[in-house]
Amino acid sequence: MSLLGRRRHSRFLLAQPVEGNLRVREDVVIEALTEHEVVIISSDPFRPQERFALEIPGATLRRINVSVVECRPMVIDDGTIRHRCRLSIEKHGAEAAHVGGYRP
Amino acid sequence: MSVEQLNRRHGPGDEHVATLIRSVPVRLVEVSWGGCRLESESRLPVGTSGLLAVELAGTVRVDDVRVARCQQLMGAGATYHLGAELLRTRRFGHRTVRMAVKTLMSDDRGGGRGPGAGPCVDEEPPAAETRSDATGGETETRPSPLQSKRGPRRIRDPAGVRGVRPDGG
Repeated sequence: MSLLGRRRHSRFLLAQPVEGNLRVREDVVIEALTEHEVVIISSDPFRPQERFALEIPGATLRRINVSVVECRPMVIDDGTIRHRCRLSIEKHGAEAAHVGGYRP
Repeated sequence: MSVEQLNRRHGPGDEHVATLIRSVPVRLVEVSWGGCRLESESRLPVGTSGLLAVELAGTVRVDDVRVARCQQLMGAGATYHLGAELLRTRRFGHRTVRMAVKTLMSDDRGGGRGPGAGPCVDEEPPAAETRSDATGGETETRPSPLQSKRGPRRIRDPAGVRGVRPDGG
């Protein structure tokens, strides 16, 4: 039985695991936005103090660094569970932020 | 910028969608030509795609990956094993994870082993070394590859990287 082409290739087990990071993107809805705070609706919960970047599309892409202040579950109209997260704006990133590439 | 400004820009009825970029710390445990196995303290849903950045052989390697499997490592707290597929969305440059894997592969064929490469050990590793963490975890999609009856086989140890072959031969 074919297992979707798995185990076709040799695997290399690293003697020492290598530290790295995985940068993932997720679409969220902005519910409120002020100079110091953003409230978003997200499908995934976040931990308090967790930090990430938020890109707001527009004529110029705006990137801001934020940290989670609080995150509470909520139920939207169709009964789906979402999470309302209040984020504190740490500092403003550059307008027209670097998108898609990796910055070590 | 406020929500009112967003309304003026996009219209009051529109949802204001933004992109949240999260950097999840991971450990690269195993690589192959088609994918890799990662360890993370965060659970990532199957299907999540992102940009993996790791330092291999002194070079930061990046590649787009998609999570194909996420399994909690039992007895280790919030530690998850992620099976990630390497996506061919980037040019096959030398700063890609795929190129690092290719180098390992060519070393394994005996044609270009780099300095510091260790001897070919060609021995069967203890099964528990690679499979003990796969039992009882929360499997979301496919069965764990670590549960194969014929375990992976260690074939060499080039410069701190140990190769294992899934077919046992």
